[in-house]
Amino acid sequence: MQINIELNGQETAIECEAHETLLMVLRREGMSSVRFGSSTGETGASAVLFDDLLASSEVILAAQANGHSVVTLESLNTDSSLHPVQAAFAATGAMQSGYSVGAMILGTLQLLKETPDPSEIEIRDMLSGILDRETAYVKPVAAVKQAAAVLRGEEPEPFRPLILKPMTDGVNAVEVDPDDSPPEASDAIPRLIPSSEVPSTSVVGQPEVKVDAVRLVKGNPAFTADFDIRGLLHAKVLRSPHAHARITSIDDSEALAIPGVHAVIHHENINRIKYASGGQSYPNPKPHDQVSFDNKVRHVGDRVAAVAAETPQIAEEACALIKVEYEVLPAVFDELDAGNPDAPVIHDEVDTVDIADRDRNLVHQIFAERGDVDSALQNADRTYEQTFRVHQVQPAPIEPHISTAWLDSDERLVVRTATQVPFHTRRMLAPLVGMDIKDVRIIKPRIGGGFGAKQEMLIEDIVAHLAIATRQPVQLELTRAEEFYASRTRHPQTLTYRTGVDSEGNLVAQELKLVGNTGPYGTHGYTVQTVAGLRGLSSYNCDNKRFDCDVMYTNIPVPGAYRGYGAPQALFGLEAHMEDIALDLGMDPIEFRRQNWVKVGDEMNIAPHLGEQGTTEEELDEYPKVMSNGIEECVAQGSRAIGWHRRHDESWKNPVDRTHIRRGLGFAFCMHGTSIPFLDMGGCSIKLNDDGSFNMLVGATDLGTGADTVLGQIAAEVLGVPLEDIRVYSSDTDVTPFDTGAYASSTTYISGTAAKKAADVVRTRLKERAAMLLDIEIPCSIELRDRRAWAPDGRSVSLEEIALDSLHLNEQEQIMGTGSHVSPDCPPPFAAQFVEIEIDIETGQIEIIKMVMAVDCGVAINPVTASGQVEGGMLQALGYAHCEEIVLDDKGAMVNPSFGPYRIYRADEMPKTEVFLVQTMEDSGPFGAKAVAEIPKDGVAPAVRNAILNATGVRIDELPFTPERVHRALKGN
Amino acid sequence: MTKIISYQRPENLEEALSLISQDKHVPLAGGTQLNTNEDTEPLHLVDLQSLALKGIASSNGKLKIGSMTTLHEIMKNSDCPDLIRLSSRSELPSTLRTLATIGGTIASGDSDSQLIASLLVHDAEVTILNSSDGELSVPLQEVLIKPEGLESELIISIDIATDGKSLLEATGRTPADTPIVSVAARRCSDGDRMAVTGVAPTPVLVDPENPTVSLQPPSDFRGDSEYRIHLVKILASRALDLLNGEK
Repeated sequence: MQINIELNGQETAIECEAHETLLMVLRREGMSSVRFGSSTGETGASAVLFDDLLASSEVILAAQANGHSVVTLESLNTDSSLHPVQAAFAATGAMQSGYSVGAMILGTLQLLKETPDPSEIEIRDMLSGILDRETAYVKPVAAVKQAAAVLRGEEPEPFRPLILKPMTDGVNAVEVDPDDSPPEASDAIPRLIPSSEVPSTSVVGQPEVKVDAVRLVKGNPAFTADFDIRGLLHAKVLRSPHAHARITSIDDSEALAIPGVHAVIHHENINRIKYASGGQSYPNPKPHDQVSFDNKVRHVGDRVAAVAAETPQIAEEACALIKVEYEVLPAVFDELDAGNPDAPVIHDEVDTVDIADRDRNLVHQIFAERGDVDSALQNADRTYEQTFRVHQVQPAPIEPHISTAWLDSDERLVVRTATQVPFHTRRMLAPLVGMDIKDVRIIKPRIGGGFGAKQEMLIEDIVAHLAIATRQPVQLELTRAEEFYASRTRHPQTLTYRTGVDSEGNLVAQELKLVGNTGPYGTHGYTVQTVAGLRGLSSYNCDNKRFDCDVMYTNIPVPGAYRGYGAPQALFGLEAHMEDIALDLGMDPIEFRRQNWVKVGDEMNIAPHLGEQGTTEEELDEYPKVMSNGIEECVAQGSRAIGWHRRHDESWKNPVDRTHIRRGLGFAFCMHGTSIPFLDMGGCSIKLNDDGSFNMLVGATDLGTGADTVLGQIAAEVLGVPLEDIRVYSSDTDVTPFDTGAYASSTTYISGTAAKKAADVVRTRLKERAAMLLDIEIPCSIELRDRRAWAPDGRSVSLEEIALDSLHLNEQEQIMGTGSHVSPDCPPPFAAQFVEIEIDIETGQIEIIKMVMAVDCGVAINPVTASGQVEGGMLQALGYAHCEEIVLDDKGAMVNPSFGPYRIYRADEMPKTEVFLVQTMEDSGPFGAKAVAEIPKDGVAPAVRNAILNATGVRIDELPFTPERVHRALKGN
Repeated sequence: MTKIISYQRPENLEEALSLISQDKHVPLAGGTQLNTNEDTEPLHLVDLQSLALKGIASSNGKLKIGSMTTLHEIMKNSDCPDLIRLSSRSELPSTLRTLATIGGTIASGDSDSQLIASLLVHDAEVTILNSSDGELSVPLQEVLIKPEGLESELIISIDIATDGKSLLEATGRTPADTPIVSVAARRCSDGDRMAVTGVAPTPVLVDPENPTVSLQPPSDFRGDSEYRIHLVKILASRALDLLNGEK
């Protein structure tokens, strides 16, 4: 059928099918800013102005749009300039991945047309239909306000951090005056507390606009789905309806007979090659317990077969026609049941080796001990034991997993894919498709959020197999439901802490026993639980520590990497446990922690014994030490901002006008890591161009985190140029240097140091060439700044002149440098997490009123993107604590695989959020930087738990804090 | 998604009635539910957008809302009672309420619909058109419990009372969550009304003095039956207190 729509002001005739949505035809018309988030429209990534109103185009049939007007973000892109709304979104850091920014900008246009000076409630209501896992909506709200001001003709304030005076000397605690309150500022503005130890810089430390801002804010092609390829086929995956079953027969003949179907692949026609899908360094942790297609399925949603066809609909129809017979087997879901004698053996195949105890579904046993825990517990004045249970959640990036594979002109395999680990993917994929690594190229374009779910070779092998089978390009995009139950999730765990304390309140022994649930495949099962042990036993000084962990196979959807990587689970237990011990001892919870937490110079005494590079005590010369720690300043700033003194104010906690409400405040001490020492590696190369600008190639993977920007800032600082003179290209295995990828809070620290090293090489050569031009004998006396090389006597030569001279005129050469970095250190960032809650004691409903996180991430290379990381991390952490959960029925099928039933926070219900960046100088990091991306995931759940305790006296040691669970706890059952 | 075989857009009610009386032909309102339905049964869609069923008008102390009026339009209309406007906003987020209609919301009969509960306490009467009886005015609660649904019938409009004081109390996982249970209540000159969501296959009217009588709520992961009954008691009591001006 033909429809006629007014598309961006132009009458447009479009051919379409009755079943096609407006989203499908708009994308076919080249509107790349309109993006898929879920077929039910809740993500809003596909929203357009439909008859001047914001509406999700994936729930509108194209036929319904006949005769209507449709406006997309492309309507603003009339020339190279930015519309004021686009400019505001770029200037305020409102985009991280920018996947849904088109919808946000269109919504802003509509809102401001009706309401030039909207209230925050109106802005948040407009944003309520656009889900965002990255910004926590804080900076998008600021962007709308700034755009409104500009359109009203006002001059907005530059978007910069609010500089606050330190409240401490950086070492000692202070008593916070209850009458003291921090200066007022928008939530979106990061509060920056500078350190006198940090040298002055020009580009580093500045709130630079992201280097990919124009591409994102205009909705230009940027993401995997945005790039057209001629002859593209679409893949769909037939998935298991059973949690555990053997495939006894599979018949694809009817599926292959459908016109438009090009290939069907399954275990009978794809080679059986073992691998582990976790995107990790070589050699991938064992066991290698997966194959592309198996004759056994181990969770509901596991792969059975895949189809490549000319349309997604044909592929889906073909999947339905594949006849599969199953021998259904018993299944087990709880990690505590998985080792029982009557539990089914999930990996009974002979070709999976290196399982600790196959018959008990025990994948790994992990053990590490310092000192003598048993003896110390026996001699402790008091001992405490407490068990916690944490649940399964999904990272829920708004862009689902998507990959496109094709054979290029040289018949090499190219995969453009939404991945956090392009280099690992290349290495892992090549053997599965029978190719050499040199014949595989992985390209990572922009990614619409990853958060760990994309630290996995999840679907690249499927599209690669199909592209090779059909010799045509093939694309697979997961549905939202598949993203929930067939991608990756956070590991459920049962954690038991035992702690011994002496009469002075000092920890003398601490043990964490952990049973981790890795689902049906090992993937990140070893490393996530290891990090849980590492993070769960590193925050506090104690001579005797022990981690004792069993990692179990079960039949739940596969857990894997999720931002925080074991730390959110462990710190929920640890920070709840420490709170309860403090209260039992009659001590102030912060004071008790302070007495025990690690300080500058203290050893991290269990860290070397855990992890992929774990060592024994005998192998070590010395233990790593904490070299920077700003926690006292964090506690002071956070206490003041949350009004910590109110925690004992009974009149505040029990409001007389709302008798069913109790108020409480909660705290958690957070310590994370920065990269994996001796393992994470990043590379960078930089070359000089004719005009004095630079091309910078990095293997690092920007997920929307701003990595390209931050690495560019580091290079610009070294080279004495503005950020705009550094053109960054990242993550293409044919072109850029190697990088382990975006995980383990490593990019700024590891890849940033690689960028700094590469820039140092270029800088040295630039100075030597400048010395030639300026006739100076000592090149090291030359300084680079303001795009020029300056001699001590005040003479200078521009970088452009150096470039033209070196490329064209004298002793020609390409000035370029490479750098790579691996670190022996893992400097911990620290943070103080505070929350304020209200709890309805009659219904169990909790409302989070305010979240404050004060973070010591060393020097924030870009305070706007760094604070954005903290805001988004807290949003996800809040979901973990409060409302997100994967719920399975008794057969192992997920009952809530869509947004709504799986509840993630919307813009119109977010608590107030404030971020403080407390500077410290971490000498091992580039310009003093440590990590910031994962620590915001660690403290919200325990802080909310401790706030419930403060409000009601009730302890809840299981997540999430849904109304029914809280109600039952309040009732004592 | 729904397997859609054909799409038609009738220009008048007669044509629409004729189309929807055919096998597998269903009326399409905003599309937020039908177009996203995972049921793979093939359907012919009959789009009602050209039937002039949009609009909000006052008559005889009541408000008539055309069935194709969107929740966004209701939310923005100052003639609508505050509760109806508020519930239209709470029902769906910004990018879906511009499409979803009041008629479609009623046709879905969603157990969790705060808008339906609010309409129930505002004495909503639904004007239904079918080819044998012509236009009929039916109380909303009877439309919701019709076992055969609205097959071969069109919702034309909804009349609601606008007098009295009305409000809604709810408990959800987060402030904007679809409530586990919500209680809408209204007080006017001839007494109180109360409707509850999350306790039956559709929102239901209950006795304000004894709101849990005969309720047998289903259990799910957000709340079991016993907890839902508990919530009805608490929220109903609060709603009455608020109507009494006690809080």
